[in-house]
Amino acid sequence: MFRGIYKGNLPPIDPSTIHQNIPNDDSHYYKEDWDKYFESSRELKVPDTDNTFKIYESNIQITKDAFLLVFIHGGGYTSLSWSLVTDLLNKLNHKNSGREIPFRVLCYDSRAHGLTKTSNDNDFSITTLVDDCCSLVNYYLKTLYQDGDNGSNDGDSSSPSSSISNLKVVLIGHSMGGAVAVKAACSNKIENLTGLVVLDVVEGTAMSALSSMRSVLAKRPKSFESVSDAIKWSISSNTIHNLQSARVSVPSQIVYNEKDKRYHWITPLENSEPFWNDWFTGLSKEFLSNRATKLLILAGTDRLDKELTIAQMQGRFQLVVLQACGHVIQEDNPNSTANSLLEYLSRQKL
Amino acid sequence: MGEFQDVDKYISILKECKPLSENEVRDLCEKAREILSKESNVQPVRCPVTVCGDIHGQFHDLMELFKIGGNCPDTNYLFMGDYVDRGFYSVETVTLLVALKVRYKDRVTILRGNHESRQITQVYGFYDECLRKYGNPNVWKLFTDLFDYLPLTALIENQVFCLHGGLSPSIDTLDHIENLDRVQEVPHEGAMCDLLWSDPDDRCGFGYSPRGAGYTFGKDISEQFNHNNGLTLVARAHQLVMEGYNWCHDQNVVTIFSAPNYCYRCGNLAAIMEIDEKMKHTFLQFDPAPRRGEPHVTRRTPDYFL
Repeated sequence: MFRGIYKGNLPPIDPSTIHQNIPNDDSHYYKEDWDKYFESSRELKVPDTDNTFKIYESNIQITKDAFLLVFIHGGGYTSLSWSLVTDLLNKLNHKNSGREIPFRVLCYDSRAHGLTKTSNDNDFSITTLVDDCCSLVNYYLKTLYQDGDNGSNDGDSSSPSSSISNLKVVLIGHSMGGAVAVKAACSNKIENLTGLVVLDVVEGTAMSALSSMRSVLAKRPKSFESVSDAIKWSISSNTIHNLQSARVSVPSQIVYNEKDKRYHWITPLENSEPFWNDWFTGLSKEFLSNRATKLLILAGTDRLDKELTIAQMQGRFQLVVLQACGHVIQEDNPNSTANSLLEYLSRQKL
Repeated sequence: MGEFQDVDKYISILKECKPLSENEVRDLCEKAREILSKESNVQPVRCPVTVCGDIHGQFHDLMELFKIGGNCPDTNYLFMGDYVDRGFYSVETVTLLVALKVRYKDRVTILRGNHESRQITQVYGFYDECLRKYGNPNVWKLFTDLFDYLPLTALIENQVFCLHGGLSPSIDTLDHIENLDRVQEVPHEGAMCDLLWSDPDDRCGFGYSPRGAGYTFGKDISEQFNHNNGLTLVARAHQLVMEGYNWCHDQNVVTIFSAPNYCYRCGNLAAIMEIDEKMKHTFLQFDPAPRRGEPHVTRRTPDYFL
């Protein structure tokens, strides 16, 4: 399987994933459910908070001696943006028999996104988003320890971490979620952190794109008549380049409103504007300074800023460039994304 | 003199930063393959010679390099790979270096870098540039087929070992390198891959490289390797160093990088290393050439970034 990719750089992408035909026939734009791709979905209330996160999981029989892949979606998206990648990670891993990498998957809907409910759904500050991530992941590891057979911790009671699962955490964030992943990693609050993966967010490039963000947001339709209309829009507007992914990810971003009998965006992205600068400021430096093993996946080489270009050319992190896909890399090209993640994990010690 | 009439013509065209025709490239690559296929995995090189690192398609800076270091064939050159990708003139740069190799085969040595590969060039620009300049991928195919024949390493007067990347846990002696079958695409792992991808590091021993390919190697490894093989120095490229050259591992290893202001944005100096008849080395640093009609670097800003 790893023959298919190379040094974190990929051969030409299967054209079928890129040059998709956009069918006119509305029957193609049907909704698909999460359970086709994930093993479990539930609500997880973080103790001592009023925050209940919607989480999606895979490989839930694994509670120790493996990687915990924590996926953090971008602004406006939900956990289900990672549906196809999660599914493919398992499928490709099983094909690699004898060299399978043990991992468990955790995706969560961020504050003000998807089905997560918090005490303040208008707080998009990076501090809050990072706190959410750290407290959720640490609590999750604790519950796995309590649920699982904990013989593997060797009764190491001297370690303060002995009451949590020994799963090694890899934070994988896309866009806004990438910023959260980097800043959560640098907060040093996450136990057992071993890896840091960022998809298509680079400080210099994000900062220069912010000025046009307001108009991009303004151009989005405010509401849709039906779920399939929303899926169709995501494809025809080139927001997502993969219909199969849009079928499962887009419906989770909208909610039916009884008053006007239309579907509206769940996340009030417009309200997040005051926080954008803070999401991305200092990101390149923090990414580079973190001691975790780092992978950056981009949709085009020209998205590197000066700082990251220098660091990449000094060999300080792994760069994978996927061509012919848009910003939502994991949805547009889930196969190459999953392959890159598996190769990256294969070079890490458990 | 008739023997080199065509190549001399090619060189004069290329020095104007003009690409050759597809048929001329085909002719040149055939000649080059004949020469390179006879070279060794550890190609012996005589001093005096000037050792250069990454160029990455920065044609005007390569012209600046020749201005600083002296013209071919007045100066002998050893290039340690990464001629293509990233810069705007990969085609002209690599064609010129191959033409100089064909014209002055005993005075010019060109090694293979990790970018002299089919896979990497499809991502980092050389493939796209060939398509743009020739309308088809034939020239890219000709060059990447030729890259398979480039020697992996060179050895100056049995003392200075030169290569693009660095050392490998599967290689103890130069004889190991001689035994590699190099005529292939740069593999995904193993000795040949490591020679083109590895980096020196502050930590001892070998470690997985953060690049996702190759290894990091410590001072202990460099000292041992130089000692075992009777070497005084490992000279390598592959990493951007802000001053153009950088000593490490107690002067057992030197990194040389010859693309100033890399990617037209990094603000670094470039350097080359002159080794004279007495094996004394001198570093020459240089700034980017004055920009001549190079496209202003504009980056496509993504339309959506949350």
